[in-house]
Amino acid sequence: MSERLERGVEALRGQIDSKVNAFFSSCVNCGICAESCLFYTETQDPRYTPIYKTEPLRKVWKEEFTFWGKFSKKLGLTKSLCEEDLSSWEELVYDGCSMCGRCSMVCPVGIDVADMIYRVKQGLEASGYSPQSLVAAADRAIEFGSPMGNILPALKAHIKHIEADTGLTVPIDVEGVDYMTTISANEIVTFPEYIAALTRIFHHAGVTWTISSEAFEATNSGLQLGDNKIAAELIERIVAAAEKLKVKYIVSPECGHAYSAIRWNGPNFIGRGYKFGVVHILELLDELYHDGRLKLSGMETSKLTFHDPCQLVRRGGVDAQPQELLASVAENIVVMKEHGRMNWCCGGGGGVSAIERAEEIRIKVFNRKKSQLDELNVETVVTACSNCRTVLEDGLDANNMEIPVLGLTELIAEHLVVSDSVSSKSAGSQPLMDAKSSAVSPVPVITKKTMNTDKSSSSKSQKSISDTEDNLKKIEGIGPKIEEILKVGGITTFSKLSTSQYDDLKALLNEAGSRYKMHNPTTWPQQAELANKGAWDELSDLQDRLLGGR
Amino acid sequence: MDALKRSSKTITSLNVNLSLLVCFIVIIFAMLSFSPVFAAEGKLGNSNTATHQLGVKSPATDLWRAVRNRDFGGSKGMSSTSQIKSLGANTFINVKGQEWRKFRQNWLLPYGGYFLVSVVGFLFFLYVVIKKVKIPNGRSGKSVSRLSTMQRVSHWFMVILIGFMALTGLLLLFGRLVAIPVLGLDGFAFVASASKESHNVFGPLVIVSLLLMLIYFIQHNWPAKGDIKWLFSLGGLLSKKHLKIGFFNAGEKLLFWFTIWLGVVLSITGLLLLFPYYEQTEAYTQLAIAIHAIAALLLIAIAFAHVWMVVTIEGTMDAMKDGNVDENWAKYHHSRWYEETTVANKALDVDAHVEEMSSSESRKEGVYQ
Amino acid sequence: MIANFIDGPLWYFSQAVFAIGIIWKILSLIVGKKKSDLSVARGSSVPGAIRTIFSRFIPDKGMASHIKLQIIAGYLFHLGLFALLFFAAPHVRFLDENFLGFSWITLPHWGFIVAAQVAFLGLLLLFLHRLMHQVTRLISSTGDYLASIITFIVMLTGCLALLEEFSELRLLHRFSVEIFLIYFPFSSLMHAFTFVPSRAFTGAWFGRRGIKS
Repeated sequence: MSERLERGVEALRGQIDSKVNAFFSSCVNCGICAESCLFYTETQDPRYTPIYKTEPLRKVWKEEFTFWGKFSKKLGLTKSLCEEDLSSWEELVYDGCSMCGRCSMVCPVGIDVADMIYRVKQGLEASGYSPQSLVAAADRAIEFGSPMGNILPALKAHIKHIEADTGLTVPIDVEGVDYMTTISANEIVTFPEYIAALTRIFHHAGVTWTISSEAFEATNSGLQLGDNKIAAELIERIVAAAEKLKVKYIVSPECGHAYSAIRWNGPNFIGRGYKFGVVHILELLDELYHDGRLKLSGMETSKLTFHDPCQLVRRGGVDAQPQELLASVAENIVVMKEHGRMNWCCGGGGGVSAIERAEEIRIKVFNRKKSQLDELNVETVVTACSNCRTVLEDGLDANNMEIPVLGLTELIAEHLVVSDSVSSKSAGSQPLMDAKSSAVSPVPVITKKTMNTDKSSSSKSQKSISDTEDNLKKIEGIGPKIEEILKVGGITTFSKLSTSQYDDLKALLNEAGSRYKMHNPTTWPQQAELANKGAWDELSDLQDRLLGGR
Repeated sequence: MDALKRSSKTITSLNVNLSLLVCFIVIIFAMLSFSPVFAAEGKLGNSNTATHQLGVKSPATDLWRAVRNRDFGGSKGMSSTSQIKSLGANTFINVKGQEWRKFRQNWLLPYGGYFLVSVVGFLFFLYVVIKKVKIPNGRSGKSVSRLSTMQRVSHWFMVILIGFMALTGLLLLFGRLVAIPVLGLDGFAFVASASKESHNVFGPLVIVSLLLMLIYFIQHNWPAKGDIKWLFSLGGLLSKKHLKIGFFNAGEKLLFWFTIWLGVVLSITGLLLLFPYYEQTEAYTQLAIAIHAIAALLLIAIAFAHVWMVVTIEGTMDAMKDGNVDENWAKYHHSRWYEETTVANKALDVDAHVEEMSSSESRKEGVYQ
Repeated sequence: MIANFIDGPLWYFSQAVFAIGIIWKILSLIVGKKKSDLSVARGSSVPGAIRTIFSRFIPDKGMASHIKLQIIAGYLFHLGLFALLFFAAPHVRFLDENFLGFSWITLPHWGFIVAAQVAFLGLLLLFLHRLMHQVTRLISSTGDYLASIITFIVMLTGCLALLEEFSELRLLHRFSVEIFLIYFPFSSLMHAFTFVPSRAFTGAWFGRRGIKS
């Protein structure tokens, strides 16, 4: 037995407790869980059967906790767990399971399959059979505080814009407030409007709050990886910050797995209870709404549906709150056939969306959500998890479906009654959809930074008179649609693009609609510079190293 | 090289079909020539009355006849009455049992037995003589999905039930002849009891299996135009062109309908025997048993023929194992189905445009069917 | 000789194995390692556990159309088996005379037959489904097939002995029961008992998070 295999077996052995014993003793291999798993239903590959994903753990259990297992091991009849098993299960468990937990809801003998898959993850991680992308993300989280690297500067930049836009202050490292808000990296990088929305809502409701510059990141790469040490370390940072700032509550961001990590798994990771409470942002908003501290006006009229994030609704227990909050700002809500605690996952949870090699299967299993949305024929999808949101946008894009995906918190912020003290321009009762259709950005953060709307509306004529235009599609990450957006925004040539600022480009994309928000223009100026110089070889070299222009 | 292969292939298939034909004729002749033998045997077993040997008529004979005839409620002028009100209570001596016994001993057992033995023997002969029909060009390694899980479940469910019913039924029918010499009288006693009890318990499940079979297979078994051609050319033997066959060929469809109808007959007669609450006369019961036995023997023979076909034609069994068949098997044996299913699959894969084209194509094909 | 063995030592041995096996398993679940949850509970776990023990008898609505066979055949088999096990006249009489000293209502003969048919129908369909469906074919172990086959044999020998006239048939039935009892604690047949703690664990987990499961 190799050393790494030994570590894996040891870790799996450590996972076996009464619960696992009861679960495996009860499993009759009926195969019902397969039908609950979108990775099976969409691929029809029986290897994606949830209980089959726990096979390494079951092998160890059988050999060490059952009579026949021990007996036939003595006789050398059974094939023990080997490295090939671990390496092939790595793909099944990490790429082929979003930890959504539907299987745990349907098992007739009540096996919590998702919980057991997490235990298998811990064994695989201990033996080093875990995806490189997740390991790297976890390393970055330990080193820089966030799986996306050092994003504190980005956060600070966003905060500056928010403060400039709204005239409000975003409290950083303020001691003695009620709530310490945590944010997920994805929200900072892709959906900064979430932070703006929080700022406005908290101001509106008179909530005292703060963001810790030491521990603002709520996502937990350790949980996705199955490494409890890393998970504990990341939780410890938040706990330390919360204790230092003497807050009463930590507010979890929308992100489902961040909520799970900090609310439910956190105390178990660090081995002690918290001295403060943990609330999900939607729990807090719902409470404020019920206390009458959240005055909302205006109703969304477009036909919309709510995508329930698995870790929030099914595994986290925040079920009624999103429904109530959504109903308070929208009147034409339809539900998917399977929703609430039996919803179908977007396919990107549990770290799947962070694994690059899993993209193909993730897009494939998105068909489940696609067919659900096709049935409803909605104009908008609302969700409450930035990861779900990215995955949904990605999937919709891959299927050429033009349905905008919105975050619930931002939607609530759009409907706040404007009080006198708040001097925000777009924070009115004007419904969001109308705002979108008139090409005004729904989020105030960007409005000032973007080229103003008059310009973009008159840019058609501009476009026609401009004599030289480059083919911007040569830039990786830019397609015909984005090219048009850029040209409408005045960026018509490589040289213009090469001198553009990241923020301006991002703002331009944000302005064009939520489905362009996920595009990352970081490397576009660099690429454009090469294109402008005519250094095509260098450009293609660069593009080879890039993934989707990132 | 390729041409050579092809010609050898046609020769093999010709061989198979020819020998099939020959064997068919042989079995019919065999049956015909055997029948007088059975009949003679039957007579031999029954000639045992003392009077015939002495040639003198016993005076008791007339009395016996008179008593025996006094049974049809006075239709012959001599009626008998009884205080007991049960059916047939006023019959002194019931001869129907004896008649039934004669039929069973002299007709059903020998003819039935030799029918079954000769069918099985003949099929075994075919199995030994005829080469396996290989998949042309060998297995391609690519598979085509043919049968759904439920189709396979219902098929094997029927196999288990009919197999079990056949085994217990044959023990009840031929047990005395076959099992007693092996097991002895005591041994057979509990085997017979067990057979009877379990035959009765499992019987009604056959109806469920027939329903499942109908539900999951009837869609492929409706008669189509090519079927008659298939039958007249004896499965393509007499046709110069390779026949294009859909999901099932006419032979398979016949198998299906024979199974269903014989199954229905067996179920109805079986239920009548199991629940004798209808107007009960021995005549009905005996008729029911006779029909039940004959239908059962036919069904068993057909089942054996089915097994032989599957064993002989390589690749056929795959469909019932995991639902997939080899592409080359499908191309050769069920070419029209293969074309339809691959076109349909492609349509699913590509886009609506192709789907439209292919469906209009299959519509056209539908016209020619 | 064999009859004495089956009615005597083997019978007691099989009962002992069965009883000890189940007690052992239940004790190991009670005594075994358990992880305590340090997070603040939202709901309480005991009602959740009780809820789930019963709620999992009813399959999820959205799932039902995909698992029709498992639901129908599963219910047919289990209900039929329970009717046979606890309400067949010979069984009740046997329990009365050998263990309990009291009896209860029994099935009429036709009821027994119907229960047996229902149970056979369910068991055969489940077995074939296990064999034929790509998922169950992949995940099933030899033990699962063996468990089904032994159960089938027990039921079959029971039906063969229906007339209760031949001691050979009764012995055959008892022998198969003994094999069943001995095999039981070492196989997935244990789910007949462990499904309760299994559902309870999961129900408690969901219960303390305030989720209906």
